[in-house]
Amino acid sequence: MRRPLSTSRSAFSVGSVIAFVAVSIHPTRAGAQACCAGAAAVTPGRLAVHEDALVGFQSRAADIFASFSKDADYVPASAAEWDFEQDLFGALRVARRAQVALLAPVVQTYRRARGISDFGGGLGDLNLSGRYDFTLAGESEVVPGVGALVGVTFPTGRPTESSDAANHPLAADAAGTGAYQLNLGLALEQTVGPWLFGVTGLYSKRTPRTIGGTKVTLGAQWTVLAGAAYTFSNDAALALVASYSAEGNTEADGIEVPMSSRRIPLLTLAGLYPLNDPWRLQGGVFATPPLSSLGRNTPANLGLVLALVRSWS
Amino acid sequence: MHQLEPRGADEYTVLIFFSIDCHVLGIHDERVRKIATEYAERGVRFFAVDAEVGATAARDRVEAARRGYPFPILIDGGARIAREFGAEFAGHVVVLDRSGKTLYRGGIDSDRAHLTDGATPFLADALVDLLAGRSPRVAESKALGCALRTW
Repeated sequence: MRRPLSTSRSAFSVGSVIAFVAVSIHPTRAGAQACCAGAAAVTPGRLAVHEDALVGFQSRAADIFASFSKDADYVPASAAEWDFEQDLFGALRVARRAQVALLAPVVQTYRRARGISDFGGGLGDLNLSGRYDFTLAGESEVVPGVGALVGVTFPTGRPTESSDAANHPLAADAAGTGAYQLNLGLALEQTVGPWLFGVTGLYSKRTPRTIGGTKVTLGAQWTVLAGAAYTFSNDAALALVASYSAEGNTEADGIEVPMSSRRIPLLTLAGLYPLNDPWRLQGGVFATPPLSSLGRNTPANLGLVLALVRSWS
Repeated sequence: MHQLEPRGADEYTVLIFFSIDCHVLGIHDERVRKIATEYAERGVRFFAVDAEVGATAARDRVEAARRGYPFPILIDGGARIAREFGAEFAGHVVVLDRSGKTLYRGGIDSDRAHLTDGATPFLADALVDLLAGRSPRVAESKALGCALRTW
């Protein structure tokens, strides 16, 4: 069983953000340092404490190898699907503890089913976000780093319902959710020697969109990310991040659609390798655990993400 | 016991805010040793200042010896000195004159964790200028080290 196409892009976007959050766990130290720690959340490319600006390019590829049904059963895929995404992103420090970031994704999808294959894509949903750090990880022995996150995702990508059905029978040209999304979050992080531990909570609310005359609103989504990272003396780092998103039922003309809620689990093993002070490579492997009851109404994927970042201090 | 006030013929005092765990500062140890050795002969006094929670004189004596620092590490209980000089990161340096006036504040140089030959040697440049009777060409820069755990 395949997941509904109408939710596929949204799932991919969430996965993309979470995967980048994982590779953005960038503790960059071996001790009591607040530098570079924690989740970039909402938008990739979080600035480390010493950085004033950065730009980056990220490439991501994922194989959709299965899905979770509405009853949370794990179902191996009966058709092929590959998702690709390239992101340009940048971040700018606007105050000593405040930063803003912009992410511009370009999405491509390859689908094959029932003897039909389809490849398409385009500009995805732009994301603008901000972060304010009230305290920094490592500043205090007791109080963790506390950051407030806010973000807006703009519906700049073509949603599934606007797909060019004549040329893209499997809607592979869809690249967006078709709705604005407001993200709010809180990030906690602390360093213990060379280890960094972080927990981030995100709340996302989407605006309604009209599909075939029906006003459809995706349910509010709660996401928790928990991660641990180890930094080596050469500034390289490894991180393991687990995330879990829970989304409420979709509403159609104000009426809840039963069994349309979603649960999205994801595990990411990420790494960071500094080429020098301004340049770093970040990458990771992410996967949906293939366990029934963990997910619901969502694809299960396995993929790679690689990013090159240039920063200025 | 060391006093921070400049004394005698020593024209200038350099404070280097220290963290035992900060690898960025550790990477700069060789440069710090070289600068301290060179400019101590010219009347500049150097001190590391450990404002971090849990710092002890005994531990830092061992650490100073291990790192080969030709200067002592002072304990800054309550991080009062760090706060006075606005030091939030390890590797933050201040250069004081005899009256205690800050003449330079910021990083040791423009490198962070990867040392390069082309780095701007902010601290050394400031000392060169001051010893030549000039104001530092750069009076303030950015310290790129780790956050000091001061509370």
